Amino acid sequence: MTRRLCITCWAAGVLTLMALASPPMRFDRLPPVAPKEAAEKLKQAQALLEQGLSPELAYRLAYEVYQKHGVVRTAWFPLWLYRQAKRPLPDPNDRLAVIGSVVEGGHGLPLSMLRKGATSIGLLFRASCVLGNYEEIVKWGEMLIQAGNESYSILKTVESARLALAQGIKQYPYRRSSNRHTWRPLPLKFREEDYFILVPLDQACTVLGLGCTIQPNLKMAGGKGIRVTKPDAPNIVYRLFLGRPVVERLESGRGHTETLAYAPYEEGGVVWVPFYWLAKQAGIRWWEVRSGKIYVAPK
Amino acid sequence: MIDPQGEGAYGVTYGPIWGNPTAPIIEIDLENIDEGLGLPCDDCNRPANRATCWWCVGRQQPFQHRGHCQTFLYCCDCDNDHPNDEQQCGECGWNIHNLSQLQVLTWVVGHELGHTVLWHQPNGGHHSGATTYDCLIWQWVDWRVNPPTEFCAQNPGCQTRWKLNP
Repeated sequence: MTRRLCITCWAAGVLTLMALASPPMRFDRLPPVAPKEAAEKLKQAQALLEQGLSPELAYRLAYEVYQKHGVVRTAWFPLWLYRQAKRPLPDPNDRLAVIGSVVEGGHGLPLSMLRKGATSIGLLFRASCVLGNYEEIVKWGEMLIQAGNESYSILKTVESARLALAQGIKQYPYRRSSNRHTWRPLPLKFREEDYFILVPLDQACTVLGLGCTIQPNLKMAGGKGIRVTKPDAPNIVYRLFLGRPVVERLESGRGHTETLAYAPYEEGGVVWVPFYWLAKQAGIRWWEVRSGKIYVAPK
Repeated sequence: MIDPQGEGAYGVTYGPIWGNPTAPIIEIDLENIDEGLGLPCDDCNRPANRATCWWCVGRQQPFQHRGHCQTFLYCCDCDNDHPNDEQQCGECGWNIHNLSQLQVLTWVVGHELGHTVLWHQPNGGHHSGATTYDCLIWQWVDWRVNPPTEFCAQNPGCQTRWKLNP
């Protein structure tokens, strides 16, 4: 079953359910920028949530930041972008500068898409959703709302959590990963960057049983045409784009664009792709890194 | 808005009428749109035994099917990958009417175009209230079956709310 949604994915979905379509951008209501050490914790927490890894650790990191600094924000570009950029990049915390750079043609890459950001209480809310703790959801959700985030999705999520609490239900039966003793290590090298586990696409496909092709194609982003197929779904082709955090799913001749939490990039002739996405395509629900290896749960 | 990513926003409009020293710029957040829509409901057409959905717990209706909490029958995205586990229900997305990506993007871009010219008072330039529901500048995107396609052309109550930047 490859199309199921993990709880993490679902929580992210609920967060944006019927979202406020488009609050006009007001910069005077943004919380202060987090100090460097706190920003790193927020960045790590977000990566954990987006990869479906430990929401407990994500919560703890965000809570540490909240306790010390209160409501703070941070934004960042992926590290590979700094290595590849030919000119200095704008400050990712300065959203207007990023947009300006994009409008000017900038760096030939969609900087606003590559820019990621988070707040302490936003992450606490997301982690609480993943963990299914209704009291925490109400607590952080109310704080988000009071701070000016009037997203309908948050209102609805908090309302739902309140309903559960009113009926004496404090905790959603959060499903933890299965017995880790049965997990097996993958013979696959990886690198960790921006707290994301990245793997060489060609090797990962071989190990995971996916079909991959990487061919020169000047019409495609980064000059490479990248395709991924699944053996159990021959009519579906995924196209990946270097430097773009999107995936195009072609199914029976119809295209649909999806997003990636981390953009693939090429370095030294190797195409690096976030492992979480490939694992999902391969039908792997649980995985983690321990002792320098990626361990995956049995399918 | 508090989050620099625009917590949940599908699009953001910048421009001089918001106090930003730029020409009007629309930024569409594909990631939020993608997450907001979620995956299409994949009817596995198999009964669930012990399924619970986070969203449905408070409603004491354990199954989610096509975005609605229900008490019976089948669930979307059946999940039986654990050998000793009873079958679970995964959560499917909120695109319960199977809107196409083109419809969705048209909706969001159309809404943002409104913000490039509309005065943002009151309510950030959004129209709210029952008579303004069928309008591109209505405040919520709820992935309804018939997305709005115009700016209040048929609704006098809605038209009176149009205010350009004074």
